[in-house]
Amino acid sequence: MRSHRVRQGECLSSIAGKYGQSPEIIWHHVDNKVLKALRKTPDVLLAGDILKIPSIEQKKINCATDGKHSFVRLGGPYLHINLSVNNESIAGEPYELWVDGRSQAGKIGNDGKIDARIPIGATTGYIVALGRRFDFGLGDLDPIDTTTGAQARLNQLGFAAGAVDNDLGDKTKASISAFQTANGLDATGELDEATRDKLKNEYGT
Amino acid sequence: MLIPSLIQPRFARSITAEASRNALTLRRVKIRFQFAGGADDTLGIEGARWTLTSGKSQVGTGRTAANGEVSFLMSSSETLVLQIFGTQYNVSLHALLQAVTELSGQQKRLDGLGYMAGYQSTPIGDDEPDDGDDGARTRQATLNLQTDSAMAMDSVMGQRTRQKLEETFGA
Repeated sequence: MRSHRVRQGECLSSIAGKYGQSPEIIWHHVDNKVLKALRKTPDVLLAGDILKIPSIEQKKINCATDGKHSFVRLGGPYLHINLSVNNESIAGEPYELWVDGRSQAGKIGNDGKIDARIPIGATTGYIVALGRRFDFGLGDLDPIDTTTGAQARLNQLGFAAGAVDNDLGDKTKASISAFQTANGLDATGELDEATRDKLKNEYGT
Repeated sequence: MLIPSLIQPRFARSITAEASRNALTLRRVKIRFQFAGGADDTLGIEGARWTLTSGKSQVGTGRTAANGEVSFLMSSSETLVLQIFGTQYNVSLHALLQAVTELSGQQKRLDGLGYMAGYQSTPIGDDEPDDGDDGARTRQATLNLQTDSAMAMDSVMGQRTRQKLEETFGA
């Protein structure tokens, strides 16, 4: 069995793709039990996490000659974004999602949803919508229990937390207080468990 | 002017169709460019070309509206550069703009309107603290606002002047 040390920008899907293994088989493997309990979701790993990669099992399939046979590869990452604008309705607005030089067009859903399948291993992309282009990093979001993970979520929910730098400075604390006030929690400026839970809930991951 | 380091949204990927979501909340930013000398919409500079960049990529472009306004959407996870009239302005979202009843909130607004109160030309959106000192600069700026708005000129930020300031600044 091989081990893989997670780097920034990687996710379970991209790692699975690299080893030709299915993300579900890796995640549910008994040797990854400790990490699974720690991170709770396979969608957000932290750089430095060690994943055990089970070997690929061989499977024999008999196929008749002269026939056409389709084999479907399992897995592959998805991207789900909830876009919202203060005081403006954006449902039905067209968007183009660009990842790895390929674009997918669509219309923004009723509650601001953009859902798409994205190529394995892609690390950056952008959306063209609402009169401009929005660049983003893929697989860059850190887990909720890290400071950088909290800063990124606060920023993207509109509570300006400053740079995502792992520093619980005044700007980040002011941002936490504003988030707590907006969500009916005591404005302590501290990332306690209730605040993290609420933040995870509001953000979606 | 310094080009800000690239701060952009970070998203998680998910391995199943319904597993994880990402949120991106945007706000509309409106910045008005006008000729000096008052708070009249007719002073707006119309048709000036502007571009918006994030890091190395151009993310938006347009021309100022009839009242001189530039309008675009942005998230608080990014810092943008607005280029117009051969000048670059760094734009980022504040957690909070202090209320117009606070001295520091009055100074931020006076500064944004070009009246230069309290501290040296800090660009809109910069997080520089204002000095909170109701000194000569702030009084002079208040007087200039009152002059431009054809109000009673007493250099004091009374209720009517505050109202005018809020109205003129737009928020």
